[in-house]
Amino acid sequence: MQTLRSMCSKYRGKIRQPWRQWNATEFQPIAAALDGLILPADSPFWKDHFPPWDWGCRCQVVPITAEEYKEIAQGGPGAAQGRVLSDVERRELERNGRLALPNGQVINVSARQDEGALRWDPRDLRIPLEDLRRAYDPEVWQRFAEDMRGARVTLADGERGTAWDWLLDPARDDARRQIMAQARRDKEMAVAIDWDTGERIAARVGTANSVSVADIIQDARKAGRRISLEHGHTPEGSDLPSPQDLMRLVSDSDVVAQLGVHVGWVRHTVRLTEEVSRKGSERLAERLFANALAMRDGKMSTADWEARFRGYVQRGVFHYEQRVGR
Amino acid sequence: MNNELDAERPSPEELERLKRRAEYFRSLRPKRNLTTEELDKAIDEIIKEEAERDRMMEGGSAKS
Repeated sequence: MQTLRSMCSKYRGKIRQPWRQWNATEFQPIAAALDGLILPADSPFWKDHFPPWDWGCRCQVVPITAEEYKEIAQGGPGAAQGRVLSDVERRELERNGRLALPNGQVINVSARQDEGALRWDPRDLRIPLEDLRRAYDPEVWQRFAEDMRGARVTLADGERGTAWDWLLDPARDDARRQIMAQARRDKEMAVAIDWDTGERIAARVGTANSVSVADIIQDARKAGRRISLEHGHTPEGSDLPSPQDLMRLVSDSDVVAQLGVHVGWVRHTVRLTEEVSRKGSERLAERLFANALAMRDGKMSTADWEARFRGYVQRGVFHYEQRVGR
Repeated sequence: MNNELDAERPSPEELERLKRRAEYFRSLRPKRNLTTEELDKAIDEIIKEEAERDRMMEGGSAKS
């Protein structure tokens, strides 16, 4: 007998599917616990929980139409394969990662450190840029890189950028792990990543408030390389890119293609908009220098700096993106 | 390493605040790409406004 669900499968492209269902095909305890779970397609749960669960996992998430959902919720033919949560259960899952099982047991599916817990992030699937580059000859690689720099993508958490940003992420994530480890020891660390290959060029560790990158920039300039310059602020430091950070970006824009600032659970990415003229960037660098001095001398508050920074983003002078997460 | 970062995971409320802030900054961006002339003009305006603000603050602190 054909169920409403199988009939609908023919028309999936035309029917609105506001729900998603987790289908487990293996028996790891947590994956099995999620089997049949149905949540709204826009539930925040899907931002952090999406198969493959682990290496070799064949779980799937399938779309569900409003009609299918109604059928399952009312105990219709598909009810045995689906599980609908009450509003209270859904809130508990979305806010606290606690999932109530039909047998009354409650399991934590948000913890990422316990044995068997969810560890996988869709972003981990990327191939390192350096491995990709080795697979192409230089001419094809050049064309590929140009295409990727022009392709706009939006990630699941709403972050927007180019496909190139996404490809550079594994190298940046690797740098971030070390930068954050140094920040916990009250030391700033800077890492330079080649903007064209994703290769790590240099790393420096400084003091609690600063790290010198002058020689890194000088060497990159001599070698004709552009870099993504990653560095961290200690937990006590500013939770936005500082005037000094932006000054570096603007003054050395021939070398520094982008700046990554890592503070706690936030990664800030700033780029000077390409269309800014040389004269404009020189004037801007002078202004940022004045702001840096004012900050250093305590003449400008953090709130005032944030307002100024907002103004730069609002007027399109800088391209700025925040990523919240590990 | 990941465990260390996970241990520092902000509370759900703080995480929500950070995500809202990220979305707020995204919403600030101009809706279209600006030309060099428009950006240079924007920089001039920024410089003028910030210098004016600095003067006002210095004036305020001189009076107090």
